[in-house]
Amino acid sequence: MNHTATHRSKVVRVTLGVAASIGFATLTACGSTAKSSQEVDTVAPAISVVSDTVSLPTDVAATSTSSPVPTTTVASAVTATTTTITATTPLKVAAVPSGVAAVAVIDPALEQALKDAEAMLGANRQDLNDAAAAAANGG
Amino acid sequence: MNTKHTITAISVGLVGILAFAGTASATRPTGDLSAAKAKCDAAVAQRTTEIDKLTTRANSAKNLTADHHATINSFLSTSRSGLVDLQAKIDADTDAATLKTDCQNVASVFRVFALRSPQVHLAIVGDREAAVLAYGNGLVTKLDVAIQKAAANGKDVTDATMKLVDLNAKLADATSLLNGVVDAELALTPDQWNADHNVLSTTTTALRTAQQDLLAALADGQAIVADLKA
Repeated sequence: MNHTATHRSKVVRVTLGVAASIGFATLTACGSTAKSSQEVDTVAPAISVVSDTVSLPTDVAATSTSSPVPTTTVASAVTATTTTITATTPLKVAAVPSGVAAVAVIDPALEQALKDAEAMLGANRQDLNDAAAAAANGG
Repeated sequence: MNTKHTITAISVGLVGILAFAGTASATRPTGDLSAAKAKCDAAVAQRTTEIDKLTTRANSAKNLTADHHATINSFLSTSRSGLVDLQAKIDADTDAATLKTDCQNVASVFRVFALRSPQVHLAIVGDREAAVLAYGNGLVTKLDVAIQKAAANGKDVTDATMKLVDLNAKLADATSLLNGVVDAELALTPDQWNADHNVLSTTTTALRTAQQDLLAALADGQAIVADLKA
């Protein structure tokens, strides 16, 4: 009877040992998985660099520097960020205030010159009227 | 006898009437000439005042060319001195016929209102339009550059280009109208006006048309700017 009891005790110890090993192995595996998730953090800066390389028209270059690009994010956010960058090129041009695009093609002096010329012609009306009035006076 | 006496009486009466009339004619000038002279002097004063205004106006006209300014100063100065001389003659006139002729000359010899004043104002208008025209020609180049830039940026510049074509046409028309028009009108003399009272109408029409051309050209320019900024 004692021999049988001793044998059962050894079986239990072996079982517990195996279970412990499996548990350790499982925990190790979980730790490994967690570590791989954290490696995603290193991907974000790389995306950020990519966003900086998106070429934009020179007249809107200043706005590209203010574009917020996340430096730390999860995998799903990285995907979203990448999509945003792809769509940014045309959107940024459209988002520029109307006057900004004109600055590149319209010389400010041009508009002023048009106003000055119009004012000059406005003054002509008075002289034309004065000429007609004097002529009507006769003599 | 009666008939002979009647004829004699009528003859004597006529002689008497004529003698009285002659005496009246000889004594009338002093009083009547003074009133007429006052009117003539007033006419002279109106014209010298107008000449002074015109001189000031021409001096302040920034776009008036030096040549045109000199021409204006010349005929205004000549007119003023001529009127002063004429007023002295009028004041010294002793008979109504001479006074009447001199007084008419205040208007007909100098034509200050009918000719000189319009000449000055029209010269200012013409030279100002020439300045705007030069402005406009400079704007064409800038507008063309702006349109090219906008096209390079991918903008549809069809309307802007058409407006630039119209702008150029308006400026070309104004150029044709203004060519030599001020020189010609400043060369007109009172004698020419006396012979043809419409002698300034061609100039006036040309300047008014050029004014409309230039206004239309500026409107085109502003429309192009608005189009490119949209």
